[in-house]
Amino acid sequence: MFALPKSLSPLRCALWFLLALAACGPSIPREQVSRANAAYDAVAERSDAMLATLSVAERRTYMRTLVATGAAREGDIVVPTVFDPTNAAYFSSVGDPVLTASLRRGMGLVGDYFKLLVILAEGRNVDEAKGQINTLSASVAGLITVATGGAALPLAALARQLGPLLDRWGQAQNAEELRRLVLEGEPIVREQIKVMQAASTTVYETLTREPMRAARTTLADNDAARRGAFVQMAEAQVLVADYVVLLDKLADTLTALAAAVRSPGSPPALASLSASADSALIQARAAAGAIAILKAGRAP
Amino acid sequence: MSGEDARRTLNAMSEALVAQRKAATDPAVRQELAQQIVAIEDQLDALAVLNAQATAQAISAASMRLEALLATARVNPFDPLIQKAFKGAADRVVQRADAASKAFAVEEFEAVEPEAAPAPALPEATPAPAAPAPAAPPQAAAPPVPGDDGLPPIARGNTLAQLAEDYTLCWAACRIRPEKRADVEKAADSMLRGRKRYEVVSARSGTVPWQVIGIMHGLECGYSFFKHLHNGDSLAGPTTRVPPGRPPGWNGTGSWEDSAVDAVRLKFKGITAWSLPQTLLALESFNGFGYRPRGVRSPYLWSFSNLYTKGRFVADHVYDPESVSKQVGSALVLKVLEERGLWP
Repeated sequence: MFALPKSLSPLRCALWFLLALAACGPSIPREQVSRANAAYDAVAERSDAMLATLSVAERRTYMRTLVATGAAREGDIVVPTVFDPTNAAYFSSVGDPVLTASLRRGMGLVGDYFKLLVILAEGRNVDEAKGQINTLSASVAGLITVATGGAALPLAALARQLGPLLDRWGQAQNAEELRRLVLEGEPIVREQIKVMQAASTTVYETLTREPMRAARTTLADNDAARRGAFVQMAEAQVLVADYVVLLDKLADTLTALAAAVRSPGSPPALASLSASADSALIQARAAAGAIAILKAGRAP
Repeated sequence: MSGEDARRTLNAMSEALVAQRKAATDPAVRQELAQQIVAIEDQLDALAVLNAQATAQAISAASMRLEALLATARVNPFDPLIQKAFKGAADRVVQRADAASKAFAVEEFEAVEPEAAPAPALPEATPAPAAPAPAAPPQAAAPPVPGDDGLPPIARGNTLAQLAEDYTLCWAACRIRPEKRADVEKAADSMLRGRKRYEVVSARSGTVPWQVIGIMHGLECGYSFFKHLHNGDSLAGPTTRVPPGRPPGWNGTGSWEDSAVDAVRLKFKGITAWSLPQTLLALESFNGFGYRPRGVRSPYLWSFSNLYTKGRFVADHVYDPESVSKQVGSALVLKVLEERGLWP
């Protein structure tokens, strides 16, 4: 608790208390958010290459199973005798087959999560939201004019006057929301990462199915071509291994971010609180005047 | 044998046959071995497809949970501020408009005293009062209990045809008690935090409005997304209370949305049009129609408004005329949504 100087007026005391509360509220671990987002970008870039190859491999494996179960075939063109809509993804030109689609969706959602944290950490949403308040205040001012038949209240001007306080409010709300999303989201995102890592076994199997089959059958008597198939499998191994390792790094940054949210930095020094209090006091007095005018429902 | 074991075994067999074929010199033997290898590779292809589909399902299940979390994100930091700061101004506008219209009516038209209608006798309390359960048996054509407070009379019945006009009149007459306004706003705020999830359920269910789903969520689960919407039982297993065993085949791994879709489909089966009376009927049906024969409007709908004062079922079949509901009426939450332009 801070000791209050005796000379403070009640308004200043109240403001001091509010600022102390705000100062002790959640701070934004911008560095950890930035690192986590960068880690996501790294794995997303690497997985894009893997998913593009996986999409083709998945389709071709499915087509081979059609042939094995009696689908009509002319050369390398395979068509099912009956169209099953549940397998449409394997034939569609506008989407991915099921495994690739699920991995892409999972990666996309993880990306959305970290992008959202960045928006909250950097306060990119505050200006846009303030614009909405200005628009809304103009509409309400118009309504009041119609209802009272009097002069329009300068609500848009009043909202602009509240601008600096709105900035602080917005940042505080962002910090709170970021904290909530990190604490609630950590186990969910971690689970998502774990499931996508576990999928690496299946991804590897799918990527290597065709070259492995070729090495054992059509290329069995051609040493050079067979070696090419093995090179292809080795490349798949590197793709998948990179994917798993980068997901591990992403999980580590998530852990660091959650730890930073749980244990924010120590409260600011008294002197900096005082400086903030003076500046905010001026703003608060202006805002109090504006709010009084608003409540009275009359023009200033 | 597990899928993993099957793949290992088949791969080992294929490799062994490849080695045999390589060592064989007889063309016929080599041909035969090649055909056996192709047959094994066909099986491996089929297993790979099945494995990919199963893995995709596991990833999708995790993705749904992450998607649900993202749906709760509040990216406009001023939502609560806007509601509080500007709603007050909008309320004042409405009040002034109401006062102006009443003043105009008094000036321009003479007050006309309504004819005093003979008060119909109040029906005797039935020996086995209906409990707050859904679908109380339809009442006979008993006269409506007269309102002595200037409010609409309380209609009897439990069907849309019987109650539509009653709901319309009550909605028009409903005013949130000023001292309860903050509680009602808070209930609406709580409900709106899950809006995106309710919209997902609404879209999947086909017709049920997200607002009804949200109100139901508050009444049945206290807005917890770890409980079945049917009755508030834990998502860890199927429901045990009425209705039990829902959703069918539930093993605790599904999402809240999966369970909620089952709940709304079960509860609102057959309802395709959601007018105001239909919506209020659906909400009142959660708790039952047992208040109407007692001359009391259901607190489940109207608690914290001028349409409800006291009287509630404190337990199954146990009615206390002096007990007062402490829960926000669901119609009032709808009123606030209407004020905010979020309903209908």
